[in-house]
Amino acid sequence: MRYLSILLVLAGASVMRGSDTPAAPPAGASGEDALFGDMPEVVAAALHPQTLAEAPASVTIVTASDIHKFGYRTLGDVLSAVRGFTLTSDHIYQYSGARGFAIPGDYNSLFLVMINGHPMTEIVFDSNNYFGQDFGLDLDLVERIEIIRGPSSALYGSNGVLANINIVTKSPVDSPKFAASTETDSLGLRKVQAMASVDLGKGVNLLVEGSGILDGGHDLVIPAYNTPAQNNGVANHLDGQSGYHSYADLTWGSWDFSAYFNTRLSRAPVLGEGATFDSQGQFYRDTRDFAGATYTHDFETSSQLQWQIYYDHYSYSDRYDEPAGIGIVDNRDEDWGDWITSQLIYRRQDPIGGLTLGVTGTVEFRNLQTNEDFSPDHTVYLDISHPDLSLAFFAQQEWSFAKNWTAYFGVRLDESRNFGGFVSPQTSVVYQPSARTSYKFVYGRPFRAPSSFEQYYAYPGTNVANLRLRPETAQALEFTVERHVAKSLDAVVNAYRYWLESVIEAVELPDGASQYQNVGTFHSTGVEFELHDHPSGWLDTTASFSLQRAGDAAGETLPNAPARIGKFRAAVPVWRDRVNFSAGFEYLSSRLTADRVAVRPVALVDATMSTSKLFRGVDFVAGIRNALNWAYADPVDVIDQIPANGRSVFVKLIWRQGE
Amino acid sequence: MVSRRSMLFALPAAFGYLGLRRNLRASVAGGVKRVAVVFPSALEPCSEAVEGLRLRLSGHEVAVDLLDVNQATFGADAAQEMARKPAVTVAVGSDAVHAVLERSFQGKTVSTMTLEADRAGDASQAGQVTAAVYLDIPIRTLIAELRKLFPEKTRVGLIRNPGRGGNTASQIRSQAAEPGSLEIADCATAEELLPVFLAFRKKVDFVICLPDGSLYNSATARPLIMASLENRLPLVGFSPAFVRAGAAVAVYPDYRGVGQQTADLVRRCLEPGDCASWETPRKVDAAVNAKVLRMLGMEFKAAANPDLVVLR
Repeated sequence: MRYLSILLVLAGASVMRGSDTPAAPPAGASGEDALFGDMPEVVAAALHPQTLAEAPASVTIVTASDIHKFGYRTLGDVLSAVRGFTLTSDHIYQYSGARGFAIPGDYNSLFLVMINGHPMTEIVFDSNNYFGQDFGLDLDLVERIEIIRGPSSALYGSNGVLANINIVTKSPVDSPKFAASTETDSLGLRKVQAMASVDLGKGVNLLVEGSGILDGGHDLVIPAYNTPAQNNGVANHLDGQSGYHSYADLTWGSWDFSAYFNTRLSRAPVLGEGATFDSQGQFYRDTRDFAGATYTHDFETSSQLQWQIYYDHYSYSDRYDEPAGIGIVDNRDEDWGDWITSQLIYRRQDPIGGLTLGVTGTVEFRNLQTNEDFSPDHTVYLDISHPDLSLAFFAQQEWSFAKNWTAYFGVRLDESRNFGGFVSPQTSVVYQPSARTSYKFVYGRPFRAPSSFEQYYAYPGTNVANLRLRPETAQALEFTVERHVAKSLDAVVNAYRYWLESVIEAVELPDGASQYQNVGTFHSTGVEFELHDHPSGWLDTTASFSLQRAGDAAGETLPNAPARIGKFRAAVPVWRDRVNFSAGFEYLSSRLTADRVAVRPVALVDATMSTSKLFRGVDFVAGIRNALNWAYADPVDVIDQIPANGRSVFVKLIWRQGE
Repeated sequence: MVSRRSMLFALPAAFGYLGLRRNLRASVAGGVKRVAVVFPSALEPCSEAVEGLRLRLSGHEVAVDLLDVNQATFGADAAQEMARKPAVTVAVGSDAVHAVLERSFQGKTVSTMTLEADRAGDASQAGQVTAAVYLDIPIRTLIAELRKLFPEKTRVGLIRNPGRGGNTASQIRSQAAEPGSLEIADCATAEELLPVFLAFRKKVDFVICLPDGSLYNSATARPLIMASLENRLPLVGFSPAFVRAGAAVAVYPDYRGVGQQTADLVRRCLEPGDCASWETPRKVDAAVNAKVLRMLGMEFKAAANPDLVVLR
């Protein structure tokens, strides 16, 4: 596999190496150059904070137009279509995988999901579960999604291991005066949404949005529970969810104020070992809120200051019904996190290149975990709070050390009261022999801090706390070649090697209880190919193929790590670009479950039809997912594997006014 | 997205150029005068001006030969054209002006699609260019366009680069219909740009930026536009690109109209006698960035200009 990867990378590079013409000299300083020349669109870029990691990475941008024409309904739908990413569902949460890592039981903690540069990782479980309807930002609000592969801890700290996913929202001035939509699908989801953009005068603009979701649930057949006592494996009218999303954004000059409130309750058919199957009372509820302000100021030609302050809240609750004789024991977890983060970033252009300096401070007011039986007797098993204090300093220097060569040196020092300190360095080199080709090399040492749950959660006879947990660390190497091959054809080859050390895993103790310990060592190697073509200006196609291998120290393949991932999508506008047809295909090779059982490969076909200004202010999106009704299962944590949804259809009606 | 009119200039001139290259080899009938037009096809505004010029001259017994300075064969084409002794040579854009003046085109030379400030200090042109249509928009015209769109906003500031030549501050002030309503500040370098701009705060309703690549470019655009938004002081740019970048409004020449105006000048120069004339654009266009105006809390009178381009 290793030699094949190297050969493929070299082959790909030689195919794409063509007659490079030198980059065009910089424009002169005449008035005509200014009059006839182009200028960067500052307003669009500056309306919301940009990701700090700008160029030296393999990046995919998904635009609002892509979201509409491909009918993406969740962030998980977006990642399913992106090179190298996988999506798994246990019908409670959706889990993304990249670089071969999609370990059941990991709550997306190796990703960093951000909204306008604000990290969404919560402080109790260190999770980024934002790939289904549990993500409170509806995709109609999204201007673009920046998917930056590779390490980013040198700028963002914990969780920036595999990829950084930054969602940039539309500004109030980019949004229609009023829009409403209703959506339904054949799995039972109903959703209504409304948004309004208001000019309050004196340059103050406000966007408010809210939506409600209700999914009454549908029957789910789970073979692992196929016994008469467990209703022959049929979970009746479960697999449902309900909740609300809301978002507000107010802009005023250089100030931006935003707020986000979101709750989702999932009625899960399976909650894990010990829980009652098919119990109508069991649930998971997640609430994630934030309110914050950002101020951006440009001092002179080449320096900028940005200050952000956010108040964040997270709460989680669940209910497990444990069989007890002829009845059940109603056991519940309830957790709360409240914290304030303030970040100051200074950027300037030095003679040798761009310099970024920053400091981030986080104060946790509450990091509370409880567990208690509600019935038949009220018993409290856990009631602990360990709020953290942390401070971080980071810096990145860009250095154009030779013609067409640029290096980036970054480092971040994190210091936390609860887990100690960590230094994350990162180096990138970019070589651009012409405007058509770029070569990028990245080395980083990212980390993931142990979560409060992993450190402190204790349940008599079942879980033991571990106050000596250390951060998970990684070493990441990435090499990317990007080439504008022809007029409308772009190609990318991306190769990587990851080493994950001190991986936190649940270890069974001699007395049968489990404890999180730093025991795991994982690695992954892979190469990805992508072609994007936009021939004739009307057909938009993207195809990608990934080869990867992820294993542990013993050489065993990691669970839920497909060796091959293939994706294809195409979109065609018809009838004066007002109607768009798109289709997508995703292939995953066979994956292993935690019990080393191989699940069937996945071959999913999707199709979508969308309209754009077809009727007066009214549009619709309709699509079919898993059109072939491909039956497959996902390796998950709650049980060894769980069937995925079959064929489904959805339709969404949108009404806009004042666009 | 753009309403009312496309911001992208079509390239009919390119097709016209390809078609009219045949004229280089055609003989000219008696009574038909030959005009050579030297232009850079890589610049869309110049192509648009050439199209306006060509259409205006059609039907007037004038044979128009197009020569593209961006073509590798330009040298040979120019030599061939010079041998035909065109009565008038039109140079479109500064690259074309240099190319024409380097060669010994006989007859009169008309320069168009250049800025007067760029030509003022160029001694090589002294006496060689017979007439010109400059792209500089008179300050009076510029302010009048702003008043149409924003009737309540009467105070205007202007940033001028003293190192670029062109009109002095007092000359500019005298051109304004109401000299007292115009405040001018000098700015010679990009480093001074932001402080000079910020000095206009609370004194003016707009700040006009004149075309100057040394002051307004990809490096200076962002801090200037951010300062404009932060201080709610709108920028008046000089091109659609500047408006797209974040200037609130731009007033710029109608390039097709400049071409037509040049054609009128060419016809006068084809007649015997002195045709020396230094003209500014008769027709101008305006564009606004609706998003930026909303961020600045400003409304504009769209009905005042039916050809207004509104960027959203």
